Amino acid sequence: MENETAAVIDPRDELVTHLGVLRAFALSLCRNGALADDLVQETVMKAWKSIDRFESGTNMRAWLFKILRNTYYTSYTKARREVADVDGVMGENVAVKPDHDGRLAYTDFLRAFEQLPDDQREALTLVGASGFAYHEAAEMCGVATGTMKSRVNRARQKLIEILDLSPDDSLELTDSGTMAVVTSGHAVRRN
Amino acid sequence: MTSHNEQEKPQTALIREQLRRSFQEKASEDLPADLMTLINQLKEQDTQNGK
Repeated sequence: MENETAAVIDPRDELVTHLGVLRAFALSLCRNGALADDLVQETVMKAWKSIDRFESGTNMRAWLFKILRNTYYTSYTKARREVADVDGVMGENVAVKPDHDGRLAYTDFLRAFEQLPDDQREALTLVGASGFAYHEAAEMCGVATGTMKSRVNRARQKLIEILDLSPDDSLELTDSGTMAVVTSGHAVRRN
Repeated sequence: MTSHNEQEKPQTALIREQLRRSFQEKASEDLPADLMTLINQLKEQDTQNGK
């Protein structure tokens, strides 16, 4: 009986609850606010039209991300990509690196993240930020799970190199409470 | 060998925290008015079509 009740939820209503993360994923791909908004709108229209094909009880976020990703790579990567980040969506306020203020760690991170190749940035966004399992992210991207793991590992290594993270620095930042204190007043990178 | 792995773990945790923060900040932004208008239009169409 409870299961029947749970199954009654209209997938259209559920779709609306994923719009924020869908837009965040679009921004990470496009790096341009206007393009990301267009991409989300197109994704929503496609998803809405084919909502009957969504299998109730499966992961709607993964389904939506896959539609968005396919739309992006088929329609947005060539002509539109050239205008990426014209409004500085991802690298906001990172043009000038401040000296030892509260934004340093985070802005450094955003700038480093921007330097990653597209496939690695996407892999980290799906696995590291969105919380998908490796196999889910791999399925979304149409690659083997091992390939996804490899992309994530390479991306992490690249970030560690760019940010020049030393073990001593990062040891202080392993829990979110410490992280919040440290990033509010100190730099991650030390000389 | 072991110390190498131990060194990498905190770095990975730091990156994960920053990634999540970045993603959550973007996900928490107000949704564009155009998008909400679109949603309302789609719902209206469904209502008119008896869905």
